[in-house]
Amino acid sequence: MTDESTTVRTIFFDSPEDAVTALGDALRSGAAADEVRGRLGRMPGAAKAAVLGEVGKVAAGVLEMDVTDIFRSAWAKHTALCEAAESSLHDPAGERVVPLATHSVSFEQDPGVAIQVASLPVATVTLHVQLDITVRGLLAVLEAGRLTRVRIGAADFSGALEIAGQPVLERQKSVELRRALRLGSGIQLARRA
Amino acid sequence: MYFPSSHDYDVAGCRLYWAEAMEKKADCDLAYHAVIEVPDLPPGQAVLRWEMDYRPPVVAQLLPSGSPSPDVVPTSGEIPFTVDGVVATADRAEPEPGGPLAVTFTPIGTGVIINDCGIDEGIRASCPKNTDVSQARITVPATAVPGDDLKLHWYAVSGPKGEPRRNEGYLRVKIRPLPPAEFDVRGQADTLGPGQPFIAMFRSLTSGVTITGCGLTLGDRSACGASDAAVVMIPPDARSGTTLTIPWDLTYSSTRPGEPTDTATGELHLGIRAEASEMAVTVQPAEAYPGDEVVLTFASLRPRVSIVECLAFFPNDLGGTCQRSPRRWFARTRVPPNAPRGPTLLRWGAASITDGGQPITDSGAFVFTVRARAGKPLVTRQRQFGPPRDADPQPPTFMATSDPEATAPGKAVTVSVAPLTPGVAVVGCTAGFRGAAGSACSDSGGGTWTARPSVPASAGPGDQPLDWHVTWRDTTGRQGRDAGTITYRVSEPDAPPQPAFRVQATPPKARPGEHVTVTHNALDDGVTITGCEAGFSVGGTMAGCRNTGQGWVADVTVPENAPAGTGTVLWNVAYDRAGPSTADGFTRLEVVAAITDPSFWSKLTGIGGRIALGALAFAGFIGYRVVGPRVLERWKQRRARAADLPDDVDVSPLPDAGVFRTDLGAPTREPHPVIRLSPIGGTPRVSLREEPP
Repeated sequence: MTDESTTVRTIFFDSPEDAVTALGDALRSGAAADEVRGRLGRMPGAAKAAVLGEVGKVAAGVLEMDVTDIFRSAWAKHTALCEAAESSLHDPAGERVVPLATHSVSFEQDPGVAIQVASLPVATVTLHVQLDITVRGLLAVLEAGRLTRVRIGAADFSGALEIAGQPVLERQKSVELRRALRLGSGIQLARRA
Repeated sequence: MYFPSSHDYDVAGCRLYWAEAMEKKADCDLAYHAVIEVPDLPPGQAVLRWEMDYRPPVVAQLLPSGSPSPDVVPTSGEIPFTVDGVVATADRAEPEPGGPLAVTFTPIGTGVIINDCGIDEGIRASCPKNTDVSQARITVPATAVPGDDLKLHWYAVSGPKGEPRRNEGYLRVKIRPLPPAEFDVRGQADTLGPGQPFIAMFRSLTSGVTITGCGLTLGDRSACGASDAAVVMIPPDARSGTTLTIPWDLTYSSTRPGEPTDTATGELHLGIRAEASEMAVTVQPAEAYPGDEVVLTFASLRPRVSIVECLAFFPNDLGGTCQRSPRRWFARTRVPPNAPRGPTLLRWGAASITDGGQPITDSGAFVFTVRARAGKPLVTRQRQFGPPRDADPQPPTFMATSDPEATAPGKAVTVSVAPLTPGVAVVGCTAGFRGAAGSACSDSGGGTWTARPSVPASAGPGDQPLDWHVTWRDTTGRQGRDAGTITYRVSEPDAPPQPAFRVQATPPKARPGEHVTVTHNALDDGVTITGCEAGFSVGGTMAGCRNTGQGWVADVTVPENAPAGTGTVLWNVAYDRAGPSTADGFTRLEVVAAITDPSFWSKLTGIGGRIALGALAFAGFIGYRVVGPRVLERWKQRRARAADLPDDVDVSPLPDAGVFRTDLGAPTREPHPVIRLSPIGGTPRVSLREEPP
């Protein structure tokens, strides 16, 4: 593992600047732009452009969600992993290495940006993030009920991003989970009774 | 259809088909009899084609290649055929929302009788029963969207009794598109000078269309106020002779069916003309309460130029036109009683004429500070007096002067009347306050006649009509009468009016960093200046005066950061008139980016010379008779346009400009809108799908 975290944003964009630029462009032109501009109503054109530029920045910000959190939610439901974690509680000093079969994780979220003018809500720009993740060849290390490391394994991300109901981009990306996850003290999967 | 043989040929084969449905052919049977069904064709004319192969009796024939057999000859023909049925037609191609639409059902084919008809989808309507009218009348829904198609399903039952046949189909009509929304976006001036405010009014010309937002863009965008007026400032460095293109934009909503909120844009074009300053204008006092009187004094700065008309007014106020006394031209106006505290515009204009008869107009606006008055505003009525009606329809022009400008009841006023039209001489006149006996004039020389009526002892303080009547004769022997009215100010018996001062900056134009000399003179007898100070308003320091013997003079420096445009010099005067007192006001000073005509001011020898310009009372009036009305008309037009400053237009000095640059900004419907963007996280949804063990 490294200090470099993998976020939802990094699935879609190479850098934060790319994210701001791409989202800003999507909001300023194209079908998504028309949709959002329509909601902004009577706001002058220049003001709309400025607002949409800022919306792009804020939207890029909401994509900075760590994928570790996605796996945390998913693996807490993984039967084999949770059973292994349960077993590891009986040997607090030891560690268990559990090979996991290929499995899929789906993630959806609808973050957004609410736009208020003079305290009046005028529009909400909604993003739709869809990630389909296939986890392959995972060797998970469990200690005292926690998933503490990933020895080996990869995740194939297939992502789609929509703004205001309009598809903006789709991406595929494979990452090494060992490098991508920030497990810290581990993911608690089982507790002592 | 039967294809009989004859002695000339033998039928070998035959078939029928419809030209509109060629793929289905009906071959003849052994008896050369073919039966074909009428396909589902629209009612009306159709073509039934037949083909026949025959063997001619002549044995040797040269048959065309490709014939079905060497001894068979093909032939063919067409038979017109009418497909019975009913057609439906609309009486108009583009009905309007809420408008009528009639659908007429027409039987096609002999013997076709419509028994029932109507529209059963989209809108329902039946043809009237037991009549010969086969027509369904509908009203297009008011909510129908212009430009969209209206799809109507119709039906008609026709045919002889016992064998009814149903025809049906769809009829499409296009809802008439709305005429485009029209707007009137108009600037209040075609030409302005640098640094002046440009106001544009936005108006919808289309019923049902309402402007919801608008603005002008000149550098930054200036949004409209609630009265759909926007104001931008002409940049002080705008070059004279150029044309500014000022984009405008507006958004509108509409109650017209189906019309969405939309935007419109366009451009206004404004000529830039930096007019040379012709007029020195002094305002007294510098600030005032609502309802208070403000007096403007005008003096022409060019030699051999005489004022013929001037006025001053606050926004949405009648204002006051000029009067003339032996010492000055002046206009009295009042701060509107409902004027809000703070800066407002005080507009002025003057028409003058050169001794060669060339008209000159000059105008400008000061930012005037309205003080806050505790309690209810003082409501004072500005009085306007019509002239007496005994004048000739088109008399020569006369000018009346009163001296002093104001006096107490019982005091005498000198009224002088002089002709402005060449060749006209006064032969007699009277002058008197309305309701009192007039005083007879006497010839005081130089063509001027003078009377000395007294203010009635019963007259209350304020403005009173002082009428004058004159009889005249010209060199052709023509005689006539003329009359006029002076709005004369009657003062309190023991409270003489505020004395007037003429304060002039020399030169009247200066660049930032330059010095100007500000001279103070008292215009009223018995008033002695005892001290004064002056300074460039906002950002300048007040400089003390020194008495030069020809006036009290202060040296004022135009601040380095003074923007080009109309600036003002604030002044305070200490004076003595039966006791010490003070007065204040401000005077026009144009700040220029570059001196355009330095030679003119270098020709002037001194302040006294310029003051003396005001004494050129009648020298320039020779041509006034010809050009005066034109000058006045031009000015009236300007005034009418300028007076329409919207109620909600704010005028405020730019805090960072430092000087008396004005910034006009109509308050937006959403003043200082704060645009806030709030991230919304959304609820993540995570699902796991494990491979089966």
